[in-house]
Amino acid sequence: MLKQLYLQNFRNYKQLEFTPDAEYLILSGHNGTGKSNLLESIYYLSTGYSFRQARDDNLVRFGSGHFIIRGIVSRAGIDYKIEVNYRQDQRRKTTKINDKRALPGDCSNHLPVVVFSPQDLILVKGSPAGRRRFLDLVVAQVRPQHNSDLHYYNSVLYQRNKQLRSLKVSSVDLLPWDQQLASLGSRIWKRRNLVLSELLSLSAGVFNSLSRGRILEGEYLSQIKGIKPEDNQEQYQNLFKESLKKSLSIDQRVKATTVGPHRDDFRLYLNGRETRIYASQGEQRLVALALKIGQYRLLTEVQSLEPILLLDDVFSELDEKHRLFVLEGMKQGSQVIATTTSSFKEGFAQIRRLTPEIFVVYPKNF
Amino acid sequence: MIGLHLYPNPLAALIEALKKLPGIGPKTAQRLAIYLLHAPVGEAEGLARAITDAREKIFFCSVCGNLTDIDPCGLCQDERRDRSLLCVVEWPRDIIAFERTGEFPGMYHVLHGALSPMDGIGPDDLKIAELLKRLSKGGIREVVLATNPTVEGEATALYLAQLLKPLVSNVTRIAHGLPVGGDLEFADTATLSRSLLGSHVAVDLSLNMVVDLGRHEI
Repeated sequence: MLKQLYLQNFRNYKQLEFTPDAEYLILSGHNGTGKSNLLESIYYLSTGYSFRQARDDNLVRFGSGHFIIRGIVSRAGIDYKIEVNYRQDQRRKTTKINDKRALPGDCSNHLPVVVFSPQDLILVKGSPAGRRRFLDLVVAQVRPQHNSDLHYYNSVLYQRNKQLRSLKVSSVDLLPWDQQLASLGSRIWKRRNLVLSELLSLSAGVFNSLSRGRILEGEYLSQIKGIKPEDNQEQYQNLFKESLKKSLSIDQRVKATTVGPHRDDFRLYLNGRETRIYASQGEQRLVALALKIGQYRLLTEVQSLEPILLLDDVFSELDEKHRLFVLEGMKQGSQVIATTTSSFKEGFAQIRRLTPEIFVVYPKNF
Repeated sequence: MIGLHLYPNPLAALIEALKKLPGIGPKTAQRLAIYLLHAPVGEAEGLARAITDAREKIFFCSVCGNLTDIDPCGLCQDERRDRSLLCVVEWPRDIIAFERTGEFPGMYHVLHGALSPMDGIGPDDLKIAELLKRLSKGGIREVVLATNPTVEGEATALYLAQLLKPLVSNVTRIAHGLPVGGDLEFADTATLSRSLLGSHVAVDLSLNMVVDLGRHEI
């Protein structure tokens, strides 16, 4: 859980110290006062990116040139100091855990976050990149090595694409990069498959009770032709290397690597029909919600982690029944930080001012 | 403008020159420059002479590419070393690291870098032609690829492996994984999981340690 948060020049905050001193907190304030920015900073501290599809440059307070997010988190009773800072002039992001350099996203296991926000719809409607990012986050939360494999995979990919841009390129020049793509890629692919099937079975259960018995299914879509989810990593490596060879002429033309786990996706089906195309807006929202609750259950029930829940304005999007369902499922032991524009006159135990415009409300029944 | 004439010109030039050194920022550069101005005349002159001396007398060994003041270098001339074993490294500093262990009995070859398309470094920019020339003379039974365990170092090793396999009977890669004598609980997850993923390590449960089986076939 998050014990302390310090922000400098992040979004609208010049400086902020925030101590989440209860398990359930509501941030109340009008639109545009920075409630979501605060949730965004917590998410960024954990994952190394924004859940609102903002680029790092957009997160820097106007005219300041850098931002710092620092937190004290406790995992299994041990405190960690984690920090991310970003310098606009160098476009450089530095992540530190207990003052030691780490990769961006390495904190996703120290402070596992689950966010519920209006943006969740992109999991169903959006591009493959958004779904991949979500899946990779869940995988990294339960298997910390995933983050560094992704990082090195992307470095190799970058080098390979640079090599494709050179004037004359042969398969001999590409082989050292292909070899590494295959071995890192096979691990990424395997972990994603294992975690996705766990996630989907939990989410399907949730969806079933949310929608009175309708069936949610899904499958991992690999770029590599002929690979089956139950195949082993060696089979994947061989097929991947073959695909790289086959796509060489296309790769050379577009000067990018067109096959590999960096182009993979997963697809969801509602009663056998593809959700992205056939489901109604309301159904899509429920599917997105089921995925997020599934993520939460995977972290708590299967992995016994203690995630922090960030509820960004979800109450406006859900009806009463689903609202209760979300809260019921999340009472046990996790930390919850929610935002709302409604003001509180009663029904709270305590209220305090965080900024001139934002109040921290401590609800009664938690 | 205020601050424009902060330093007299020669001092500013010295600070600028020092700032170019690795690991030296503006503050350290200023501190070093002012120290040199206050130090006895002999000391500053001694440093200047040491730098020009080293630049004049140190060059790359024509055989292995190591830094040396005699050609071939001391390592290449040493009769006690095993001439059938050749260790390929990225930089001269890597030789120093190996020599500190005192465990490697063979010869070295310095590539002066690693493959990196993003920096425009290809095989022709490394001392690979020199390596092939050495191998063509015969007598080498094993080449150990000891490039760094980075993405670029790994690529260089893989590139050399396919190039050298037809020429040498044994091409091996140094092992990477857990340092022997380290406690598992202090190992970072990346190292620990790499040490388990690699097939060339054994987990010795009685010692509570991942035992490195040393260099392996690539």
